[in-house]
Amino acid sequence: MKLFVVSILLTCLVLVIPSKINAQENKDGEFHGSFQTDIQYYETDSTIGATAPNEKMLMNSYLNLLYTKGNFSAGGRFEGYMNTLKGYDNNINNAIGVPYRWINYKADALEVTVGNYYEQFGSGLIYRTYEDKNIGYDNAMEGVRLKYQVAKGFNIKGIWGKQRYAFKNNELGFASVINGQGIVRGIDGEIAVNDLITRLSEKKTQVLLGGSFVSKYQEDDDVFYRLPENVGAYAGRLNIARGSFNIGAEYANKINDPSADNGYIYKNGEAIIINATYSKKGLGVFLTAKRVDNMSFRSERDANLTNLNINCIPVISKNHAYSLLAMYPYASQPNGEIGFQGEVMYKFKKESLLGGKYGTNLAVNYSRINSLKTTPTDIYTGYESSYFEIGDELYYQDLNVEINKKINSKLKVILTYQNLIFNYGVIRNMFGHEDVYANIGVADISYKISQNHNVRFEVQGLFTEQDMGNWGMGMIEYSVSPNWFFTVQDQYNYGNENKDMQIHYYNFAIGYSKGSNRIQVGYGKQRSGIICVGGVCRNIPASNGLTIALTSSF
Amino acid sequence: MKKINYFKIYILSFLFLGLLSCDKIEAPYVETINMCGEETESNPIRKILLEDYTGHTCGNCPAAARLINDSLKTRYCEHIIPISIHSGWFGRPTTDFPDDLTTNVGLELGGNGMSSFGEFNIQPQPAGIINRTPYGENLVLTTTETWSKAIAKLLETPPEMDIDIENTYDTITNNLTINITVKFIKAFPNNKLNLVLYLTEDSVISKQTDYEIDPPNVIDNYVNRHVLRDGINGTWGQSIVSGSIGANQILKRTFTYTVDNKYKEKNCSVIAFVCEAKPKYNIYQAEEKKIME
Repeated sequence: MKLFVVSILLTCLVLVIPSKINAQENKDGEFHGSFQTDIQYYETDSTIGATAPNEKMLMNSYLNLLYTKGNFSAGGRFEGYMNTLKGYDNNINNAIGVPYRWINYKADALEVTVGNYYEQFGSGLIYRTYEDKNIGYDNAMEGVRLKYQVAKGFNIKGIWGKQRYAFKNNELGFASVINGQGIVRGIDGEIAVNDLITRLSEKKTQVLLGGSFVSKYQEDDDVFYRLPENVGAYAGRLNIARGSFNIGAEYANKINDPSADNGYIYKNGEAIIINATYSKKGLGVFLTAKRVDNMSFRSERDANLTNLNINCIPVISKNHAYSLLAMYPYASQPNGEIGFQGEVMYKFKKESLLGGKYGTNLAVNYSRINSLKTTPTDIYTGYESSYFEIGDELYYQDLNVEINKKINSKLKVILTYQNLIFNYGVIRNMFGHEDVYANIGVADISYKISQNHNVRFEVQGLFTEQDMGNWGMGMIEYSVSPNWFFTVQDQYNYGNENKDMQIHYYNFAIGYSKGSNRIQVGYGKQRSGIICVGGVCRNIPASNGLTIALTSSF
Repeated sequence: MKKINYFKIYILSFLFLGLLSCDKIEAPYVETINMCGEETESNPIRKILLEDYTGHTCGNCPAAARLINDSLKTRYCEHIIPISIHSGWFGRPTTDFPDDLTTNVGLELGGNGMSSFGEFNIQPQPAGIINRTPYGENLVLTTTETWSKAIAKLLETPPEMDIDIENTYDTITNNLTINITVKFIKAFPNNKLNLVLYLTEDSVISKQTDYEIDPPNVIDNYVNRHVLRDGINGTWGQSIVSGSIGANQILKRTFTYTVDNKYKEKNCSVIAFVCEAKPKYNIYQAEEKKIME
């Protein structure tokens, strides 16, 4: 009864209040913002290992607010963990307050930010700060950022500050942000050559050059090791585009950085990423190669998990959206990996044999990542690695094919096949666990019943002899445009060796959206698993109960 | 001309930051340190409990055990008291690894890796807990390089109490009488303190996975050091202070226990420690003594 009342109240909130919340326009300035809340009511379910917390219900809430007036802007983000949802680290974020706030000012070519900010240099090989609430990731800077446009096409930016580690109540009971011990400072310059040199502006070949340097400082308080207190990393990048072709590369190098991640070795780190694309109407080709060697870079030597990363190593495997395709996602290995990814997207033309009346889209994607080829040296320098050789250990291989076809004016079909090899021990840090070899198929069928009514069927199958065995998944989604959707789904672990674990993970959900407001209410079982975004992952515990998600923006 | 000057400023600032912000370390990479022989009758030392959550199919765990016994013990000597707690996914008996070195105490602390991760939420192994005191923000340290740093930090403060163990063991009846004396060096004005006693057995032989040896990465007769065998007075012990206690106060407790005759009694020891009662856990002092000397 209580759950029903809560659901109704929140639905009313979405239906009634949106007409009252508009961007506040004032001739002296403007307010904009967004709100998100995720609530979960937990039930104990011993069959799936789900436990209910003492609070029964947990909530994560966020409100972003931005005020702009002329060259001045300021903002903040309220965060409320009451208490932190399961699966998010409640030792890291468990307070209520405003941990993110900033002031920004532009004066001619100079832009100054004080307070909290996010920034990235190039692809993020030596510096990337960002937040993603889905994976509970937030390494925001607190300090000063300067941006300066030296000339048209020539921009530099500098950062200085500490990184967010946690948001929790201090000994006096006040919510406070805990920053990492290390101080991070850096500078990045980027030149769009064709903009800087006006006589090149009309040239077909467009060139982008960039270079950056980042350094961290942390006191050496170790009684055993002689540790570098200042650790620097530099990177250079180049991008050339001409017509349908684009090629880019970025190289990074980091001096000795003994840390918990690399076993306190004094070896330098380096990384290189190269990508090339070709695209024209109906055809797209994308190739990328990456080599990473000892490039974990944190503002505290002993930080672990997703805490206090200064950089973010891009992942070069495909990020899948379908649930069984996303069951075994790859996570970047900053200590060492070498791999490549290639993708070809082709559209068979309309009225052709394979294109049919509406055309057919075909995408073939392949990625493979291996260990580095290394030779141990000693316990302090660690190892030597051969630059162009590929190590013997396969970390990840993904071959997937997707066909996207509109059959007629009412019917659309997406068929996906994946062949997967997943090194469980390395990627999930559970050494000794067998690798997973799987074949996965997905059929996504969408049928337009009428102008505003649509039904979608999803059938997925994962076939493997390892880990939890085979899975089947079925979903029906009915939507009434533009406001409502209803889903019923079931994931069934029918192939689990342990018959007691051959469980149905059913889930029902209703969603309503109006304007910039959206609410979704769901009930059912959630299997334990992992969610990854951009190579950074979060464990999801098994749970059973009601979920409510509300978003709004103004 | 103006653009060239900007380039120079950019390059110079880049180099300036680079030159100032890099510390290149050359060998030797370590400081020489040894803390043996510091304990005397009149100079009690802090003794730190190092809990190593391990398992026989955990291939990285022998390296952690070697770190404890070859490196940390050499460096910190009697300042550290290691205990190996077999638990979690890698501690469970399997068809190929049938020996069961787990205990009810260990499973309560570290879980079975399937339906539970224990009171301390032990997931990756090896995992270390140093005096049940967080190092930074982390109670469970899954990177072994932090264990030495955590120990060094704790040793910066002198001990708040001293523990003495006196064991009387009857080899015929296997009955063990344990006399514990806790002398408080400092006052505790408002605390709930528990006294906890564990039984350990050293040099237990069983099969072990070790990734630092050639495939098939298995040692048939691996020597397990300091294995937790039982909680003499339960997992969390019993209360000895609830409120306040003054400096120089002495508390004495006596326990009786029957040692399982499947254990090699000459390798068995009693570990005693005083800690905060749940939900705090931090340990103030520990001591270890063989049951037969």
